[in-house]
Amino acid sequence: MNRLKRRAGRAIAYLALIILGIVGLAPFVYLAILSSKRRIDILTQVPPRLTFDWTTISNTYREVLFSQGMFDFTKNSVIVVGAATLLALIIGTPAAYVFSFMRFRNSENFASTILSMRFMPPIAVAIPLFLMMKAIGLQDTYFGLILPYVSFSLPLVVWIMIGFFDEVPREIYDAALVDGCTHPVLLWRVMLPIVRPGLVTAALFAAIFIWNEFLVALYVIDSRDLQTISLGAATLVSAQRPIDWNIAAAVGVVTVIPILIFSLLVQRYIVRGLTAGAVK
Amino acid sequence: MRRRVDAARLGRGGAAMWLLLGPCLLYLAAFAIYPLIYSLRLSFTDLTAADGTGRWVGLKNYGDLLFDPQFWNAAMNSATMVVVAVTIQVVLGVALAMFFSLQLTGESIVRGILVLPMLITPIVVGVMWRALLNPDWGIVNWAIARLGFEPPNWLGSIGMAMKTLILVDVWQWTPFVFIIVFARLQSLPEDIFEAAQLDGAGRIAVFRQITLPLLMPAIVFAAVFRAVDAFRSFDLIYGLSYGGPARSTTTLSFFSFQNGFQFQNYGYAAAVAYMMLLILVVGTTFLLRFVPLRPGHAR
Amino acid sequence: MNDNAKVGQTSSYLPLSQDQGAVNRRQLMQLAGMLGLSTTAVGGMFNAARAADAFDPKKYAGTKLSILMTGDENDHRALGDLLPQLEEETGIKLQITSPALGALIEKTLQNLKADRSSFELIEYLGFLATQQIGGGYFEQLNSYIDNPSETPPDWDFQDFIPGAMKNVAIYDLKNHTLGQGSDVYGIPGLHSGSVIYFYRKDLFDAAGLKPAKTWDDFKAAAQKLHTAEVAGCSFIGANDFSLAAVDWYTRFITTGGKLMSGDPNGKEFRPHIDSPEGVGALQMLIDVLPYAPKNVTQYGFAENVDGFSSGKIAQMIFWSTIAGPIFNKEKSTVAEKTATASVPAGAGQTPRAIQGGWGVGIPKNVDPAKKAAAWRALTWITNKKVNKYEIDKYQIDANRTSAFQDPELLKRFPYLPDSAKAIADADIIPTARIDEFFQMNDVMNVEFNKALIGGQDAKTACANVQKLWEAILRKGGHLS
Repeated sequence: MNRLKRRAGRAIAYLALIILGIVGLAPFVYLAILSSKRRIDILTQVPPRLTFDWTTISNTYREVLFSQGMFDFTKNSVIVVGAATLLALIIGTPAAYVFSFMRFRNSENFASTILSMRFMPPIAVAIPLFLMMKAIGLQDTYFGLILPYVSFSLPLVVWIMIGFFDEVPREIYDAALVDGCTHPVLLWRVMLPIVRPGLVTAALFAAIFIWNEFLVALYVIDSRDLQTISLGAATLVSAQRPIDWNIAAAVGVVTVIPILIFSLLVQRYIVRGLTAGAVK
Repeated sequence: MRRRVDAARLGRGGAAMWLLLGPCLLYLAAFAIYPLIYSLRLSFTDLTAADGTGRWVGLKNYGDLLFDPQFWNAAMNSATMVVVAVTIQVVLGVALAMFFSLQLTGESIVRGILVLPMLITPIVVGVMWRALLNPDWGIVNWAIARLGFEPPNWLGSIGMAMKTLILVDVWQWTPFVFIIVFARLQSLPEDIFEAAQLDGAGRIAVFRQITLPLLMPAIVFAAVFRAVDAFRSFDLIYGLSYGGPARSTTTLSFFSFQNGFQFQNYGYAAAVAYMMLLILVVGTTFLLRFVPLRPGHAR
Repeated sequence: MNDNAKVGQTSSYLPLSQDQGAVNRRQLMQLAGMLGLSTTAVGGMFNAARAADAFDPKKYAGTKLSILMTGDENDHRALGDLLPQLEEETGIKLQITSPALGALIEKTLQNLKADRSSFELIEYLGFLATQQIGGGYFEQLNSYIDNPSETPPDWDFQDFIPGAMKNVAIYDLKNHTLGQGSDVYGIPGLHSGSVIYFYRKDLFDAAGLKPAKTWDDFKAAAQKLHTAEVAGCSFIGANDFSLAAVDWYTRFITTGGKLMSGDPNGKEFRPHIDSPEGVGALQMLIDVLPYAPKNVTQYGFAENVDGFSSGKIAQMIFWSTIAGPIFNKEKSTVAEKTATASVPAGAGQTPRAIQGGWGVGIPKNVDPAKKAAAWRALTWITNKKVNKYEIDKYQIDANRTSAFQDPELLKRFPYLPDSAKAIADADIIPTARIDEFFQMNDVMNVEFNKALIGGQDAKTACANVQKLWEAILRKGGHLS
C-alpha cells in the first residue's frame, strides 16, 4: 500500500514538474509563434493558427537581425558584459578574500557599505557616470560602458565570493600562513582552485545584472554600431507608436534563444557553484 | 583561541591586505562618490532643462517633496510593490526549492527553463506580457474567456494594474530566490535529515524546525537583495504600464524618472532619488540589526 | 497673412549675388560697348566670374556627419533608404542614430548642452521648439539659406508649408516667441502632421450615412454603426499623450474652446480647462464610451491603429501619419474600405486640430569646420525628392506643399488633400510655448483617463486639471 502511495506521489510530482516546465516555457513559445506571423495575422487570428509561412518568417528575422542590427547589438552586449565581469572578478575576488579571512576593525561596515553601493537608483547614477566617462574621453566607446559596469558588478562579486571564502576551512589558511606563504600567493595558489565554482557563480550573477542595463548605456553610447541589446530593443519597441508586434516578438526571440542555451548549459554551474563550498 | 589567531593574522596582514583590498575600495570610491555628490548637489538646485543655470534652493525640493501628494502616492506604491512582490517571491521560491530537492529526473532542464525570466531584457518582458495580456487578441484573455470567466482589466483599471505589475515581477524574479535557496538547500548535510527521519519526525516538523532555520541566511539574503532591487526597479514599469493608469503603478523610482526624463525637473528628480537612498539605507540598517546577513556569523 | 509675407521676403531665396550680377552685367555691357569689346566676350568674362561662386553639389564630399532623429516614426527608415543616394550626389556620409522619444529628448539635451555636440544634425519636436530653440542652442540658418553657393538652386525655400515653418522653424529669440519674426533656426523635416478623420466608407454607405461633419453626427453615426464586431467609433482612452493632445483638444477647439489666455512669457498665462467647452469636450468622449471598443480605456496609439486596420472600428479622428499602416494592403484588412475627411467641428467652426511635426537643425556647438557640410546635408534631406519619397514609400506626412500636390501621389493616396488641409489649418497648442508642457499634458491625461474609467465625472476631472495646471504655472512663474 505504501509503495503504491509512493508511486502515486512520485507520479504527481512528475506531473507537476512537467506542468512547471510547460508553464515556464509557454510565454516564450507564444512569443515565437507571434514572431512567425504577419502583423495583421496577429491582430485577427485569435488564437494564432499554427501554420507557418517560411517567407514571412525569414523576412521578419532578416529585418530584425540585420537591418535592425540585433546581431551587432548582441555582439556588443557580449563584449561589454564579458569584459566587465572579468574585471570585476579580478578586482573583487582579492577584496572578498581579505574580508573573509582578515577580520579587521570595521570590516563589517566596509562590507555592508560595499553592498549598499547598489542602493542608488539608476536614474541618479546614470548622468554623473556618463559625465565622468565623457570627461576622460570614453564617451561612445566600449570602455565607457565597461568601466561603470564593473562598479555595478563589484558589490555582488565581492559578496558572493565572501560567502565562498567563508566556507573554506580556516585550517587551510592557517596552515599556509604558518608555512610562510604570503597572502597574494596564498590567494592565487591555494584559495582560487578551491573556490573556482564560486568564481563561475559570481561571474554569472554579475553578468545577469548588467546584461539588461539600460540607462547608462543610453547616455554613453551614441553610435548605432555600439548599441547593446537593451538599447537596440528599446528603439524597436516604443510605447508611443504602433508596435509591430511581429517585429517586437522576433526581437524577443532573438534575445531569448541565446540566453536559453546559455542558461541550460550554465545553470548546473550556478547551483553547483553555490553549493560546492559546502563541507561534506 | 580564536582571538589569538585573529590577532596573528592581522599582524601579518598589513601591506598585503591593502594591496588586495585597495583596488576594489578605490574603484568603488571613484565610481560611487562622484555620482553621490553630483546627485546630492543637484537635489539642492532647481535645475530644469531649459533653465540651464540651476539656482541653489537649499532644501526646497525636499520640502516640496514632502508636501507633494504624488510623492506619497509613489511611496505607497513602492511600499506595496516591494512588500507584496518580495513576500510572494520568497514563499514561491522556497516552495520551488523544496520541490526541486526531490531530484526528479529531467529537473535540471526545467530548472534551466524557469531561470530564463530573470535573464530577459525588461523591455522584452514588457512586450511579452503586453502581448499575452492584450485585451483584444492576447492568448491569456482568450483562454480565460474560453473557460467561461470574465478576463480582468489587466493594465487598464486602477486596482488591477498594480496586481499585474506584481504578477510580472514575481514571474521574473522568483527564479532568483529559488536558485539561491535551492543552492543552500543542496549544501545542507544529509545526515541531519536522515537523523530526523529516523527519529520519526513528520515532514512538516522537519521543515519548520530544521530546514527553514538552516535556510534562513539564504532566504534573508535573497529577500533583502530582491527588496532593494524591487524598490529601485523601473524598467519593468516603463515597459508594462508606464506608471498608469491614474498613477497607480507610479513607484518612487518611476516618479524620479518621470521628473527627470519627461518633465526635465532634474533638481526635483535628484531629490526624489536621494529620498529613496535614505529610505533604503534606513530600511536595511534596521532590518539587518535583527537578521545577520553573513551566514558565518550565525554559525 | 502678414507673417508669411515677411518670411518670404526676408529669407526668400533671391540670392544677392544674382541681383548684383544683373546690375554689374548691365554696367559692364555699357562699359564694354564704350570700350568696343564684343558682348560675347563680356558675357564670357562674366560667366567665368559667376562660375566661381556657383553651387557645387560635391563641395563637401568625404565629410562624415551624424544625425540624431526619432526612431518612433518611419522617418529613420525613409532616410536610411536614401543614404546611398545622399552619398552619391553629395559625397557626404551620414550616420543615423534613432532612439525612441524619451531617449531622444535626453540625448538631444545632453548634446545641446555639451561643449561639442556629437551630432551635426538633430531632429526636434515642434512641442519642444520653445525649449530647445528658445534656449539658444541652435544655429541661425538665414545666412545659409540666402547663400546660393551653399544652398542648392532647386531647393525652394518657399515650398515649405507655412504652418510647419511657424511650428518648428521660426523663432524670435528676443521676444521668446515661436513662429514670430523671420529668424530661421531649423527646417521642417522629416515629418509634419496633424489630425484627420478616418472612417469606413463601406459601413457608412451601407447604412446610408455621410461622414460626420459635426460632433453630433459623429455620435449619431457611432450609435448607428456599433455592433458586436465593429465598434461605432474609437479614440485614445488610455493614459497617453494623445488623449489630451488629440481627442480632447480637437473637440475642445472645434467647439469654441480657448485653452489659454495671456502671454506665455508674461505673468497672466491662465488656463481655461474648466470652461464649458472644456468639460463638454471630455463629456463628449464619455458619451461615446458605449459605442467604442470594450477596452478603449486601455487604447493608446498602437491599439487604435491595430483595431482600425483589422476592421474593428468604424470611425475615429487620429494623427494623419497612421494613414500609412491603414492604407497598406499588407498590414490592413480595410485598406480599400477606408476614406478620410477633415475632423468634425461645431457649428461655424473651422475643422482643425493640434499641429504636430518635427524640425531639423544644426546645434550651435557643432564643430565649426563641419557646419557648412551639415547645412548641405540638411538641404538634401529636406529637398523635394526626399519629401516625395517619404509620402510615396511610407506615407509620412511631408513638409512641402509640392509634395502634397504631386499628381502621381494624389492618385495613389486620396487622403493627401485632407492631410494637407489639416496641416495648413492646424493649431499650435499654446502650452507648447512653455517648458512645463509635458508635465501639464501628463496631468491632463491622468485625470481624463480617470474620468473615462469612471473614477470621476467630467466636471471634477476638469476642475482638478485646472487646479493642477494653475499650480504648475505658478511654480513656473507664468501665473501670479
